[in-house]
Amino acid sequence: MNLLIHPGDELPIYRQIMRQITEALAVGRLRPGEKLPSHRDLAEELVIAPLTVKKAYDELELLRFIETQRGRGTFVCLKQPKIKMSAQREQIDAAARNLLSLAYLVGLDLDDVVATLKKAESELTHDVRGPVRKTSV
Amino acid sequence: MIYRLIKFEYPSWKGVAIFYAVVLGCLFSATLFAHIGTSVTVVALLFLLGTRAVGRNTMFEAALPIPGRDIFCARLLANLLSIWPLFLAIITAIPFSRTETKAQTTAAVIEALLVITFGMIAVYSFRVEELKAPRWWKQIIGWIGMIAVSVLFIQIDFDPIPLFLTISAIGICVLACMALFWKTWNSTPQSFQRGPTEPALRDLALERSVYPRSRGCPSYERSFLHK
Amino acid sequence: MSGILEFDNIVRAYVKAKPVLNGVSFSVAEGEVVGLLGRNGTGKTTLIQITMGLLFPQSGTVRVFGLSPATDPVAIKKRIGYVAEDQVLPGASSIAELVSFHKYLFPRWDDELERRILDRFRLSPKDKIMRLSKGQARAIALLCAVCHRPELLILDEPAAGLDPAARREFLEVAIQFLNREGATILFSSHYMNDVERIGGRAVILDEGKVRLDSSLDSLREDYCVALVPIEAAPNPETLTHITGCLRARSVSRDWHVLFHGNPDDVQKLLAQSVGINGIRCDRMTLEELFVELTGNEQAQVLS
Repeated sequence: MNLLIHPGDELPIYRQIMRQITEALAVGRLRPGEKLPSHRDLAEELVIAPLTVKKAYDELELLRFIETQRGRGTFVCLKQPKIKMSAQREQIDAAARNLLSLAYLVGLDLDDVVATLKKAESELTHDVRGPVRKTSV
Repeated sequence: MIYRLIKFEYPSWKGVAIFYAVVLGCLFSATLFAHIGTSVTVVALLFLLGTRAVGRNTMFEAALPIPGRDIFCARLLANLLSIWPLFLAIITAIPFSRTETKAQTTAAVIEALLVITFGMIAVYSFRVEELKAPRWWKQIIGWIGMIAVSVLFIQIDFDPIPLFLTISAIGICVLACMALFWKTWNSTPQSFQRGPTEPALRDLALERSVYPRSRGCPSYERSFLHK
Repeated sequence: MSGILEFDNIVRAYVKAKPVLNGVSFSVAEGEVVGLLGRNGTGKTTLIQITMGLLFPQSGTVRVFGLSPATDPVAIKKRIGYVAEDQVLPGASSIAELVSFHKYLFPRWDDELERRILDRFRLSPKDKIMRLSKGQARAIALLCAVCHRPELLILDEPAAGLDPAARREFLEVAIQFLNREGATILFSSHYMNDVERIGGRAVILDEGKVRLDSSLDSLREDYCVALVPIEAAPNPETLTHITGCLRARSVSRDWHVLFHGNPDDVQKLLAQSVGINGIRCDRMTLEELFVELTGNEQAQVLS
């Protein structure tokens, strides 16, 4: 699994793992039913404490993104939960405002920002093994 | 356990064997042809200046589950093993040497050996519970030992002491060694301490300094010592 | 309380009237990974050596596996793995001799882990210890400490003096050990990134006491620093009296005020007491938290 964590980042490590897994899910890099590495293996791969990985997995399981099957391992849920619109929407609105203010500061206009967004989309999806899975919001 | 520890102190048998062969050879010939007193004093000097004689314990063993008494015995025996053969070589050479006062000289060498042995036990007996002996204590013992041995020999070479005095001195030394060993062994704790339990009156940070003190004789050190 | 390790009001001084540890109390439960942090000379090594029975406190009690290091040091050491920066391994021995010595001393030995570590560092059992690099020697010390399956692993600045790659390799071994045994680890370190990678809980020592004892995630999420201009609060007492304030440190023309709380709430509290809205409040990394909590005041920059 291509996860990269930064110990000095703003987010605690377990949240970084959670975010990268949910991003991978959103973009299609992780597919429903796919098997995740055990928390021990992931801990050794990322060189972090196994308990941290376990915490991330536990939280994701609570949110019903992934599930543990006894004796078989951890898998991405076949049926992904619907993310609550309101909380994410606020974050998206704030991010959009930030993006626009930054762009205007350097002299870009709205068309430039839209082009930048399209470029970001293609970068995110370029190594996916299929079409982007759109989460119903 | 003690045997294992000693074996560990001398892991490179080859280096030790070569070293001893060379030194014993030198001593033997020195005893045959030169002043015994000088050769013994040189040995004592070499030995007492080397860290082996006055080094106590290292953190390596102190952190392992080994009772303090075992560590003490093993270290002491390892130290004795590095000095006794040298002196025994001298003693064996005396009957073949040119000295007239063979008996007195032999007795004096034995006495010198016991004095050094006493000194080596004494290194351990001050503040027994501590991992390392205070530097000043080691230096005192080193210097006293050397002076005592040198005086002993200069006297033998130029003015032999009556045999019966030397033999009684030997008796006293043997008893003193046994007594000191017993006392030290008894007071050795299960686990050595890095520092005294009572706080010092002034800052002895130098004792715990991380800077190593080199002691010279690098090849000697490499055969015997931990890095 | 049946923790693996319990410190109760430990007091230890090297020089009279200047205690290095002045009432340190905390405990470590089974399976925890606790990072012991503090500035140089604040007693981390002292505390660790007290745990090992290599030092006795002047007052207070310490319990390891329920035993006292003063009365049962050998029994305790049989269940502990210990790596310290100043631990000299016998230079003239080979790795195999060192391993066989440890196998003799300890009842259990994990041959598989030993083999993995030797492979990872590309070492052979015949190598002589004095020929190893610093990182390799430290790895061998770690090997000796973890392969006998201790219940408690104590690391005293294990990564000190190692290059970043060696530090990472050291961490990898520690994590492999954690994976196999689920054992408890107490380690002291100055490398905050390493602490954040492997630690679950951080205990920060300062001026002889435990200043902070919290899980690492909580440190990241529940603490923040506020930048208050010095003119707004000429007397730091107004700041330190606010609920949740841990410390106000002057840095050039601002106070860096450390709070326990989330940034939005703290911003509101500050607006009430100091009268300025929108004061900058940010969460911090462990390193910044450490500096804010234990760092000296920084004098005003002369313009």
